[in-house]
Amino acid sequence: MSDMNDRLSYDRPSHDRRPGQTQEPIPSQGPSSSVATAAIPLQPDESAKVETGTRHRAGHRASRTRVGDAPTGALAGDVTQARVMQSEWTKLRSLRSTLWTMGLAALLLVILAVPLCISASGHWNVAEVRDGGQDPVYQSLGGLLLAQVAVGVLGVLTMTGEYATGMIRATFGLVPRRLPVLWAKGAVLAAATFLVMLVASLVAFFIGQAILAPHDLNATLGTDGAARAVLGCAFYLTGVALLGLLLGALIRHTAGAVSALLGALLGLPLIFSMFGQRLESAQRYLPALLGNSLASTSPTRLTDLLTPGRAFLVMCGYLVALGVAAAFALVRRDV
Amino acid sequence: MIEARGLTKRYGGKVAVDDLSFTVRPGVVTGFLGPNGAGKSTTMRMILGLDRPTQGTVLIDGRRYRDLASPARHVGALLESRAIHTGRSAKDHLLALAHTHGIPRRRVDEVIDLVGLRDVARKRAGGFSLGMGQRLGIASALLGDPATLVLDEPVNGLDPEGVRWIRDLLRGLAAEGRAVLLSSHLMSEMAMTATNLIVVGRGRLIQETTVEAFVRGASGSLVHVRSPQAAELAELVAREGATVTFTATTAGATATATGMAVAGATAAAAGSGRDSGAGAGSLSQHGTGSEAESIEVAGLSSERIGQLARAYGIALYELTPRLASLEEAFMDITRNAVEFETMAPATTQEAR
Repeated sequence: MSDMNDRLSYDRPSHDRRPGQTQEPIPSQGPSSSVATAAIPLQPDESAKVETGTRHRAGHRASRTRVGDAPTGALAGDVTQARVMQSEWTKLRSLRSTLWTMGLAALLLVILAVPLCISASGHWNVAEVRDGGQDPVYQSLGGLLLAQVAVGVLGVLTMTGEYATGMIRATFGLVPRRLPVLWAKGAVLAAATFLVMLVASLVAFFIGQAILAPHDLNATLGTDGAARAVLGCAFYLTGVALLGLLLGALIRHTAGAVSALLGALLGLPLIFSMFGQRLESAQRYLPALLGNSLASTSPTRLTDLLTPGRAFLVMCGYLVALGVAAAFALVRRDV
Repeated sequence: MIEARGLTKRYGGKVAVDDLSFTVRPGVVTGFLGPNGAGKSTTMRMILGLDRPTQGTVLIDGRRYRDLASPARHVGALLESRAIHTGRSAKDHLLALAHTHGIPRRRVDEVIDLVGLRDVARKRAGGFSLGMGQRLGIASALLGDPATLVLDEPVNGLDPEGVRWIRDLLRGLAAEGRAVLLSSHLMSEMAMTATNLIVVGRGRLIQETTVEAFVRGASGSLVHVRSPQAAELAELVAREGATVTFTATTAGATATATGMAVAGATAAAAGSGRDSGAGAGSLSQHGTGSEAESIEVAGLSSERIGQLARAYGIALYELTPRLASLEEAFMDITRNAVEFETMAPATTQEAR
């Protein structure tokens, strides 16, 4: 009885699909064989067949590998943004490269706090820290300069990994509007990166301050701007991961996108500094220096950086601009 | 159900697909046949909304692919290049795909079992053999229990067991009422799997027909039969309306002599009615050395001849449809269709 039900409820959808959509009815099906033989595993006119025992075997196999028996009713629902996000989360967590790059970023952020703060504890004096000339918070978060490379590569790979392997065709085949994929990748990557980097930043902060504390050079989370700087560090690294993702969507090749990202993060400041005074005021808008602004507590009058609030907005501006370009390219281009 | 109308794709000045119109109907396997570079893959990518047509439309169940709310329910696809991230396990790959449509986890296990990948479901897909990769691709295609399947060269590089598995699977899927579009550059593969046929060359539609009609039109249906009771069999098939030609009497001959005699006779027969060069190479002759006669049967399928032989207790030593002449006919048809444009395609065909 239940078996009957299974068959009936399965059969229905495939019959539903046909009559409604079939515009040319049976006559145009050409020689009657196409209809008549559909139910038979092997048509009589398979002249290419050499083995004579195949008819029997094929029939047997076809019944064994029947796909329609198992499903009951509609298996697949509609594509929604939430579902695409779940899919992208599965993709992100199931790749070793995610663990490697994310782990490396966290490790760099935490480990580098040790030498940076040991070095600072030998050179700084208490007065410098008091008047903002030296920044114990940024000193403990300095590992972000290397961690950004790792999260940036993770962002790039999230997109280009699919292009390199051809997976993107399966992805866009299932989500033909494509943009939900970009948003979902961005959201999942941002959430994961922000959480992990926030934890890593906190750990780096506490380790660094513990090293500075015996010399009275340390800050606490309650220190003005310290908590904001820790959040800012995690935000900056998340922003870099997203820049990588969007560059990956635009460039579609891992090496190209990584080069572009590293060029923007590490190359541009060097080039700007070669122009000396003339570009100095523009330099503070470079992505790399937004990291300085966001993760430090030094007063801006001393550092020539953007205020953290403005740095946040500029980073968002970059992401929006690049996001629009990537979205446009993604929808327009053939895969 | 796929309907293509005036589908055209240009890359710069080069036309990959030129005004292609065809229909893929439910319930049968439709072969998409053409030499490499004929535009088959491009057409399939346009069907799946991956490439944008320069002109024309292609509808899935009456709608543009892009407008489908639940694409996996309508179309499952296996594209030529494996669309699988090498670093992910088969199971995670399928899970990620399933999530996009809210397809339940048990369906993922189901398709894994269906394609026989249970033992390696947790292994990274990068280490899969070609055959396993194809199976995983087919599992992905079946996830949403789609009404239409689109498969680009699914048997490429597979061992005979894998080829037969795919062939049987596709026929089973079509028998369930699904539309199956299957591309190949091998006529022999089509003859065994497909019912309907779309033949393309140089991006153009050459014929939209059935395999049966194509085969008959292309080469007649000639079957080479060797049997110790050939005369008896000849009488039987003649009664079914077939024309029989005795090609050689090989009673008492050695195995080698048998082979040579038959091959020679076949070549002669081919030379008379059909395209030259068709017969000589391909008939595999492994004579047994026993007394047997060879006949050529025209107008009756090899299946029917085999059935007749069994029904009347006639032993068959050999029952060979004229495969090679099919391939040749296909080559000629596609070559003729493209020759006026350039000589290049002829060489690419030879290379295959």
